[in-house]
Amino acid sequence: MYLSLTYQTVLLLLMLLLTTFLYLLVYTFWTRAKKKYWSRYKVKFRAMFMPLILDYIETANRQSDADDVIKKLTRRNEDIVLFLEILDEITEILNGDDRKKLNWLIKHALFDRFYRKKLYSNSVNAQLLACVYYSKSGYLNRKMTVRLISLISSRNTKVAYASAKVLQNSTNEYIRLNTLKSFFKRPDASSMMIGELLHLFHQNADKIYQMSGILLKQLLLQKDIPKDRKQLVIDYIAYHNLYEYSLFLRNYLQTVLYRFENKSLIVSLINALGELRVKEAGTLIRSYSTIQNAEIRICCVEALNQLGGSDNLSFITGMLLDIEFDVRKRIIQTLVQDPDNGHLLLEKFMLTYLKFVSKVWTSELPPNDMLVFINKLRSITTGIRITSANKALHFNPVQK
Amino acid sequence: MIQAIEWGIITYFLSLNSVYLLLVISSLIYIRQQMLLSDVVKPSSLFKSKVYKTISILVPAYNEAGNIIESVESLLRLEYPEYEIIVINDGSSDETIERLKDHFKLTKTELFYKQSIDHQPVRGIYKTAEIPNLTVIDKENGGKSDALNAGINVSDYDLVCSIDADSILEQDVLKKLIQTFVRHKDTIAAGGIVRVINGCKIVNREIKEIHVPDGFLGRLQSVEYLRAFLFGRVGWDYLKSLLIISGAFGIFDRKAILEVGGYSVDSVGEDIELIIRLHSHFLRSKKEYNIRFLPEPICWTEVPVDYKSLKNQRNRWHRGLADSLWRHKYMLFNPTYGRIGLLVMPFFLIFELIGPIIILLSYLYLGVLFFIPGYTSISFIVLFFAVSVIYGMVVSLISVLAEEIAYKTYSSTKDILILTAYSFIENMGYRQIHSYWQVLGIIDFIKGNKSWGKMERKGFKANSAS
Repeated sequence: MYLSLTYQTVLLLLMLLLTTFLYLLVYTFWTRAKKKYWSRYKVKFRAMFMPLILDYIETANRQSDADDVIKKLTRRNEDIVLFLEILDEITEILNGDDRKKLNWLIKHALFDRFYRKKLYSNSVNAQLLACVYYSKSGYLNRKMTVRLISLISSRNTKVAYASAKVLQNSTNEYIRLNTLKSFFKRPDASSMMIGELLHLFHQNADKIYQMSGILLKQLLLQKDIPKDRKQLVIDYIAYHNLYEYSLFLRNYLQTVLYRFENKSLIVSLINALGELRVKEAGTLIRSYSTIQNAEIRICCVEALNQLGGSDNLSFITGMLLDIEFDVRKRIIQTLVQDPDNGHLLLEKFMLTYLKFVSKVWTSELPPNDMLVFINKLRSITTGIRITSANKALHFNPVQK
Repeated sequence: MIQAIEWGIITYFLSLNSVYLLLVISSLIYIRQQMLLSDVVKPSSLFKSKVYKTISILVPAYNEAGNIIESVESLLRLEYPEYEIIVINDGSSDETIERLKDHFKLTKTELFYKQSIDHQPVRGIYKTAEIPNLTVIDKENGGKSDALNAGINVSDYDLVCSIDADSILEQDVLKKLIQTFVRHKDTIAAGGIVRVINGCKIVNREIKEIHVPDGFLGRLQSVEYLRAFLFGRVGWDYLKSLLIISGAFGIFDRKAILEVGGYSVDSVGEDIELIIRLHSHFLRSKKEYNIRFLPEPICWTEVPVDYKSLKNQRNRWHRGLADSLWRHKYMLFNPTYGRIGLLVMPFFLIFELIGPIIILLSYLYLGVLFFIPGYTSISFIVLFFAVSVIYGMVVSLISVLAEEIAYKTYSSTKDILILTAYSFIENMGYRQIHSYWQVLGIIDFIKGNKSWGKMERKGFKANSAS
């Protein structure tokens, strides 16, 4: 039986596996040896070029001075990569004239030629390396733009993202916007990628400030852009305090109907209105505080608190009997932390309801639904006591 | 009849090791894909926005007086914009709580929270104004799951991260792991690679040099961990079918845990049980969800180095697996649960749970054949050792080399040679003994044994340089 074809096949398979193992073993030690060699080379390379670059930054007067440093490179691929690594490190700590001089080096024709070939190659790895270089150097011409636009629709997410990043260096706002639009529509794009692109899109705001403002609005109004992407744009606006969007966001919230699938978008809009202190949105936010979703009610509490004003605080106090523990907790935290009238409102609330409770207790045994209400009141008073005590002892953690 | 049994044994081992090999290869491809120019997607903008989530780190501690201060101090140094640490003293009989109170100058306080999950009574909650993101809960003993449940109740942040008090985390671990939540929408749980810390040089709870352990059992476990995390986690994650996130380090969406009722307090395999329950709940309710694994070494843990502790640990792990599969047997071969019910759970049942029984029975069969004249078949014996031992060695070796190709964690060539040698040795005796411990685990599960068993640990001070 065992000398059958199956037996031989199994043995053959094992031989194949053993060969694979031997190959991997050799490969492992080869890569380890190679890695060691290159680490030693890197140390030597740095020791030679770091002083040269620093000296160049101190003495260079014109762009052609960069040639003297570049001439010393052996033009091996590894040297180019290592040289750019050093420049990348220095970029982080330099600004002003020094940074300008460093850019002469980064944008040198040698590197451009080296990476341009990679950009037009079919290898994903090469394309990525080229994109990383061009997003750092900021160099972009018309021919390259065409190539990069074609790469945005690459099936490889990283290539598409890397090329979208390079295109954010363009001085043409419409190219930048269209890049964003097409990338936003990709289902494989992560929030992190979108956040980064938004950041790049909006940088150098003094140059394209007016334009980018209109463009971000366009992104929010575009129907074919998914809601989670729009949510990121709203979060971005709020986080960077872009006040000029205040009224637009308020009007936008009015147009979003409450449905479960719109929940996250509504939460982002209410949070943004709160963070941007859009006082005109107070009434609108209050109308959302009756919606059944606790997450929305919590963000209403936070937004109304940020808008401030006695009316909003009184309104929040009125929500203290909310069915959800988390909503009640957030209201108590908000009022206890309020430096002005928070404690007075809480006191008033407690006095009103405690009188009522004592009446119920002394008269007769309360009915079941009344017990639920009394237990809720008890939870609220406990919350006020504990949160106030913690405030006095500075135990309150920082809230997001 | 005999031929049928022999073919059955050969087919079983061949399938088992082939699946392992496929998982190792797919995990290697996956890791390479992940690492290919990973700096293209740098999370530089992540912390310039509100995309990130806040994290509560839960540290259940039972008789950890020796390690707890260093452990909390190291957690306080983690790089992350907004996180809190909740230490839960689970009724320790040593000085764990006193040391915490004295060292951090804690004051007894109260917290306003909802007890969403039941747990043993809390004796007191301690905080200090100097470190507002540190909370210590002192509660009656109820086990690790019970302690974690108490921590989940008190926690107020988006995500909860459970870690063992005797593990060391990489400083940027939270920054790395949060990317998993941002990259994959609807992620409810994520884990990372756990590595063996024995043998490493540690200074102030930071790993300065990575080496293989000195002892025999430690080295065997290093190979085991490499293999297990490659195909047991990365490989399954590649197939989007992750069933285990290590109890030593895992991060979860707090709301998702609350939705399924927290950790199960009467399970000894609380980590695997929770993941299966999350799969079950989200698949049944047809909600979008992701349980992912970050293929990077992020958590370092001490492994037992004495025979008895190792035996107890493996017995408990297998009891945990048996218990979890038994509790969720309704998912097996049930199309409602998609690939988890149709592929992953049957695999865990047939190869992981029942596997050790088949392995031991096969050796028993081989032994019986040896004593019956005329029945001993040299060809069967050769084939059996080929598909069980040699094939097993090849899988272990490829795992060690895959780790080396992907991460180059160990800096010295000597360490890799040691691990290579141990991937041979592991298959000649240790795996068979391991199967025996696992079978004992199944027997204990049937008997209803739910104890954790004693574990002797040396502690990090043994490896510390200062």
